[in-house]
Amino acid sequence: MAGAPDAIATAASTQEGFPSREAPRERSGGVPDDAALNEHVRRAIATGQPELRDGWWALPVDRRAALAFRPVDGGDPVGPEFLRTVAVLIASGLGRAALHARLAQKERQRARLIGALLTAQEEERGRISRDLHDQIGQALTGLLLGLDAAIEQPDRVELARLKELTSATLGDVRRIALDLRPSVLDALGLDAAVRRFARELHERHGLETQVAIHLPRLSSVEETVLYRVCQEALTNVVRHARASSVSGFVTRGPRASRWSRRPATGRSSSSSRTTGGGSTPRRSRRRTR
Amino acid sequence: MIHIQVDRAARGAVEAADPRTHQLATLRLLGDEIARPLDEQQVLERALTCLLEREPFEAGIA
Repeated sequence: MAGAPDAIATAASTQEGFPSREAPRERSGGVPDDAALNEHVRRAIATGQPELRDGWWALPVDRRAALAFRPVDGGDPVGPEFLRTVAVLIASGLGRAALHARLAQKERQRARLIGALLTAQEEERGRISRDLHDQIGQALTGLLLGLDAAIEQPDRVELARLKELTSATLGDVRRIALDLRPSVLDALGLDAAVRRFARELHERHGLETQVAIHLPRLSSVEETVLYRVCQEALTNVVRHARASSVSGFVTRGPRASRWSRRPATGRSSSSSRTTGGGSTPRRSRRRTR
Repeated sequence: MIHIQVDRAARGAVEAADPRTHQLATLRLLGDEIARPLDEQQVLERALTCLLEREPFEAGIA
């Protein structure tokens, strides 16, 4: 406590025993031995009441904490009523301290989550930047060079090629926009958005996809999370499973997302795997409903 | 464990007041002391220190 007299000293602090087995020098005068004081405190805790014994007040606070005081010889008597009120105050202080500790833990957890969110955001921005630079940027550069040449020397075949390039670039822009946020998700919901993504995969990679979403319309946040889960699962099938077809469903329940794939080699998959390909870790991170 | 010992002679004059009024003031002071954001060890330490400073105790253990 601020402003405490110099004569007050914190003498000892240990994890075990009440009081310390390493007797502090202040204990030389009249402190009962460990066993006696422990027994005294235990008795007070059991009764829940302050008790005066062998010149020491034992003051139970809660199940984990108790205090003991040695009154001054000849001092004003301190009654149990006062000590009970002291115990209530200290118990509330300990309760608040526990709440502060939990709050601090939550704050640390929140800071970690915000850090993870920022990292994910940066990774997403990096991916978009690479997509724009590697695909759109290069295609537009090619288009520009082709148009320069066509201005100098018009050529119907070259112009047709440039038109195709423009069309393909437009497709790339649509795909990037779709990856970012499919407008159909807001307009028509998860089922339509996943079907559209599956159609895109079929057009780009030839993957036959059957997806059934057995869910009502959910909140925007929930549908976005589920869409990303499905997107990740299907993308992982394309990247890692070497499959010719994939089917899956999403519904409510403990095994709410299930995917099976047929290998591209022609062998039929005899058993279906939950969320095939490399998507299991993601599934464990995001729980479907 | 926290063990605090006080030398009563060094405390100086205790305010002359009705004991009950003095105890009420102690309770209020104790409430203020442990109302701040503290950990459990600090709560016990401040409570002990406050009571040893204000009340007729010469040693305290928590």
